[in-house]
Amino acid sequence: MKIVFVILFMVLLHVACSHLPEIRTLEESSAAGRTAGCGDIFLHGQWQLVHAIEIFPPVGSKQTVLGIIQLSSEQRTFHCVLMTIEGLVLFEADFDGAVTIQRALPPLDKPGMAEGIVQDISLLFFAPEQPCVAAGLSKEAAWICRYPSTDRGYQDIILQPDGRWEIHRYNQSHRLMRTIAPMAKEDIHAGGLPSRVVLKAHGLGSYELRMSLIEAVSLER
Amino acid sequence: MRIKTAKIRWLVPALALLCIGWADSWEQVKTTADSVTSVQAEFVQEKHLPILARPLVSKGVFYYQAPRSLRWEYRWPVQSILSMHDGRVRRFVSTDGAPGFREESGAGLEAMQVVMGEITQWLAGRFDDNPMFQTHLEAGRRIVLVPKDDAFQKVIRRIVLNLSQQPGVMQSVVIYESEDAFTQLTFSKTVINAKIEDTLFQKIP
Repeated sequence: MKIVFVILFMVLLHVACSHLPEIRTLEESSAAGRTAGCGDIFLHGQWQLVHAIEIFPPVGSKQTVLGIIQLSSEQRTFHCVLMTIEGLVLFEADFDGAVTIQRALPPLDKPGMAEGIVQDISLLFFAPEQPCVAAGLSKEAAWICRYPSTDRGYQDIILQPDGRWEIHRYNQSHRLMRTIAPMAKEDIHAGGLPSRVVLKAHGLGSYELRMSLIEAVSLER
Repeated sequence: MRIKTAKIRWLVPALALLCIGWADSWEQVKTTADSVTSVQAEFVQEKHLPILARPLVSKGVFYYQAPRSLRWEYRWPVQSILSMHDGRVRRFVSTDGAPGFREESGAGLEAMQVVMGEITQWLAGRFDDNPMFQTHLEAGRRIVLVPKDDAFQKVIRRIVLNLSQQPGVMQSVVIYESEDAFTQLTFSKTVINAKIEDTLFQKIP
């Protein structure tokens, strides 16, 4: 019984201590340009992307699937397909503000799974919807742009001095829920699409997605 | 010269006899398949989906050893090996940054266990053995398998096997998930009854 209280206390302590990283605002003229740079890490236009996705679930061994996504950054819509390497479609859905599931095989048919996939895709590929509410330097001298989200959480885009970047997603309790970053500096390319990127989901039921780009086709005419 | 011409005259009908008629009935298909102890071939897999501007292409090789050993190996764009030996299916994937192949489980592997079991049955000429499918042998060396179960039909609507003119050889397989979403496997460089080491089905590099 004691151990339950200790675990509960530690969880509550962790939640109570969650806070957003401090941002030191600057009055210099370059600040606006640096803030605009936060949006440059995302793709613009209409694209079809194919990734090999390694899924590291909270329990069990990892598995690799292929992910296909057709997206429009302006309309903030996409169509996504997850399938096995052998071509069996496990999950297919549309997102145009609402999720429409075309196909979901177990275990991807569990409640909340589709919404989770859509949220991860949106975080990976779409620039924040709301305007930046704060920007400046972190303690580590990285440039942070902070955006509010509709669920009263926040999204930080962090530009490191050496060119690397990260996305941090916080919930309304300011608890870190997701981090996204290119796996290595050499995975970052001009045009906003890294060749390898890792998404980490934190907290209970944590998981990790490692995505390697196979193909990127512009769908602009 | 006259002898050569005469030989060719005999050779052409003999080949024609070999090539035509090996898949006119289930009996013929089974009799031909009985003589097949091993198959190895290269394949190109095309995934067709309505949303895709062009099909998603994968390439690889497969090895079959009678009665039930199969190695299904993708070499591009993702390196992956599905191996079946003694009825056990295992998947190994090579990933960026990690040397060699790592074993995986999870979504799709159970379905692949069924599919690979089915492929070994087909390679042994037993197309109509599985009670889960309604099987038709059509003209033009075409075999169509339709799942009987409605729930199964939601995953796979039908499978079309196109047999080659060469006896015992499969030319292509098309797995339809819907009318406009399907996976096509086209085989080439097929070699029959060559010696394949058992270790190929048991050891992964």
